[in-house]
This record gives sequence, C-alpha cells and structure tokens, in this order.
Amino acid sequence: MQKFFNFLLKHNAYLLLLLYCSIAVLVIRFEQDDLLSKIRSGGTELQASVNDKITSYGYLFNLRKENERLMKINAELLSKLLRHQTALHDEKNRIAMLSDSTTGGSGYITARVIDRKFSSRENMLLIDAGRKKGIRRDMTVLTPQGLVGRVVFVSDNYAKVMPAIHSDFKVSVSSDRSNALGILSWNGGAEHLAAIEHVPISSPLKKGEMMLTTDFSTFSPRGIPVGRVIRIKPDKLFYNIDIQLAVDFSSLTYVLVAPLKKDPEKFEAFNEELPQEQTGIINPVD
Amino acid sequence: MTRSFTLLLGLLAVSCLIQVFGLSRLTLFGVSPDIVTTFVAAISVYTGQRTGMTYGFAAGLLSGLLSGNIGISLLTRTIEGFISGYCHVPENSHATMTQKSRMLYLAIVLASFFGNLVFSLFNNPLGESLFYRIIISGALTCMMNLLLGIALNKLILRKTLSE
Repeated sequence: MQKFFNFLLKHNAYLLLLLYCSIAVLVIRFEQDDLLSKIRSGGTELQASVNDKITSYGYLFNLRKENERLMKINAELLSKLLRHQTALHDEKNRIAMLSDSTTGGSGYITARVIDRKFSSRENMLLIDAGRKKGIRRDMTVLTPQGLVGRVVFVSDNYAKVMPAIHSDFKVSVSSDRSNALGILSWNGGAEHLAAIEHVPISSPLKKGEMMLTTDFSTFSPRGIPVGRVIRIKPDKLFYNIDIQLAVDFSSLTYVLVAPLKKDPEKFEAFNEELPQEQTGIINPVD
Repeated sequence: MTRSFTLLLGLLAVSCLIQVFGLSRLTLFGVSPDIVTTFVAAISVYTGQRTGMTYGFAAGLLSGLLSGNIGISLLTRTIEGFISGYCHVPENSHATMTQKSRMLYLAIVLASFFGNLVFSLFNNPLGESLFYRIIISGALTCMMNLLLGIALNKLILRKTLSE
C-alpha cells in the first residue's frame, strides 16, 4: 500500500495528465450529446456575434476609405458620361447641320466653336477652321437656325468670328412678308435680343415677322434668318424695333461658314453711280 | 497564493478572449499566433508541470467554450501544459533571468509543436495532408508563438510571473 502511494506521489503529474486527457477524450466522445452540443452551439453563437460586431466596427473604420474610392469611381464615371453626352450632342448638331437642305453641297465649311468671349459689349467667337480649310475674312458664319456673324480674322487653323451680338456688327435685313428694310445692330445687354434700325414709320412691318439678310450686304448671302420681331415702337421718323435673334448664342457648338460673296463688279458699279454721301449709309452696314 | 492564482486565471481568461476574437484573425498560410499557448507554457515554466497542466486544462475549457471546440481544446492545452512543464525552472534554482527566458522560449516551442500535433491529429476540417499540417504548420506555429513569447516576455510575463 505504501508502495502504491509512493508510486502515486512520484508519478502524480502523469496521473494528472491521464485524468485531464481522459476527461478531454470523454468530452470529444460525447460532444454530440445534447448538453455538450448546446454548450458548443452557445459558444459558437457567442463567437459569431462578437466577430460580427468586430467586423462591423472594422467596416465603419473602412467607410472613409471606401467612400473615397466610390467618389473616385463616381467622378470617373461622371466624366465619362459627360464626354459621351458632349460627343453625342456635337454629333447630333453636326448631322443636323450637314443634312440641312439650304447648305447641302454648296461649299459651306463646317467648323466647331472652340472658344468664346462674351461680355456686355463685345463678344467674339473662335472656330477651329482657318485658312487651310478655305476660311477667308468676311465670310458669313451661320447655323441652320440663322445668322451667327462674320469672320474678321483668319489664321492657318483658326478664325475669329464677330457675332451678330457685337456692338460693331451691322448687317442689312429685310422682313419676310412686308420686305421692310432695316439694319441689324446690337447695343449690348441680353444676347438673345437685337435691334433693327432705320425702318421708317411708313413701313408696313408687323410684329412676328421674320427678318432675313438681304442682297445689300457686302458679306452675307441673301435670305439667312436673323430673328423675329417682338416689339415695334414708333419714334419721330423711324421705328424702334426689337427682335428675338434666331440663333441661341449660349449653346453654339457647330457652325457653317458660307462661301465668300464675290461680286466686285456690283460694288464698282454701285460706287460710281451713287453720290459720295449716300455710300455713307451703305458702308457701315457692310 | 490566492492573489497569484486569481491573477493568472484572469490573465488566462483575457488571453483566451484575445486569441478567439483577435489573434485568430491574423493568419499567415492558414496559421495564426497563439497567445494561450504562450501563457500556458509560461505558467508551466515558472510554476511547475502540474500547475501548468491544470492551467492548461482550464485554458482549454475556456477557449473551447468560446470557440465551440471543447474536447480538442481541452486535450491540446493540457498537453501543452504538460510538455512545457519539462522546462520548469524552480524558484530556488538560482537561474539567471536569461536562463529562465531561454527555458521559456524552449517551452513555448515545444508546447506549440506538440499542441499543433495533437490538434492536427484530431482536427483536420480542410482535409490537408498530415505532413503539411504537422511539419509546415507546426514550424510556422512554433515560429509565430516564439516571436509572440519573446515580445510578451519583454513586456509583461517576466514581471508578472516572477511575482
């Protein structure tokens, strides 16, 4: 007996190991039993819920990074969308311009407005067609909607256009129904409005009539729409007339440049026959 | 005695929580460092084989309850405590701190290897080859636990367990 106790005391670590291992093996053996199974599933649930919380906190900490990533993607997509929309819009305008019956096959040059300078008095447009494409000074610039302006400066690849909404721009116009003559001018202010000067009060001009360019102009072909009369107010000798311009200058993208009007003989004959003081009326009109 | 018992049990409980909810996520080639093994080995080294084994059993029970794998956890931790108990440094041994630390690191390596061996024999849910699990995972586990042990020894173990 004493030997047995001595043995136990000497090897108690092994006995303890045996005891613990036996318990462990028993637990492994009966792990599928109800009680242990419940304890296991409870432990698993606890772990899962804590892990879920930890993961959700991690998600919160990563939100800023994620947000920045999404913003970047959003910006890229937006810029792509804008590029596509712009391309689509430009293409539509170009197709509309090329399919316009008044310009088809008549030597009109298509150009894109690439820059603009708008102010209350002086506006200027820059188009991406120049001398190399056949653009010359004094050519008429228009859209299917109506008159845009006139080329005032040409470089090899670009041309500067003085639009109808420039204080120095004048062009001879006539109404489509009553053929009342006048001179288009712009005195600053709203870019969709202009004035018609020198229309005598004896003229039968009515509100709503369309004003078109005439043959009197030195640069513009006849019949280009300029705008519609929206207000007529009689003065001493002439009407004060406001027109709504046919072209929306705020959304100009593509324009057409009409071939140069060449008829030197006409001007030569005209200048010889008329007295000097009357040419003074015609010259500013151009 | 009661104070040190409570302190060790508290440390063990905290280490189990850290292991189950924190360190088990830091995996390298499917292996994560095990702070419980380190603690069990440290207790065995400083307090003896029987105490270490008992704490190992307790740690196994606690981590098993938390992870839902009670039986294998009990067996693994008990064996870890038992194996590392062979590196026990008695209080009256006059061993230097460096010698004690070396024994601790040896205990951690042994406990890690045998713990991994027992665990691999009883649990192989991914169906990996036993060679991979015992040799590759074992080596990785030993290395990770050793690094963790060195860090913990420098920070807290040396001070806490020598008290």
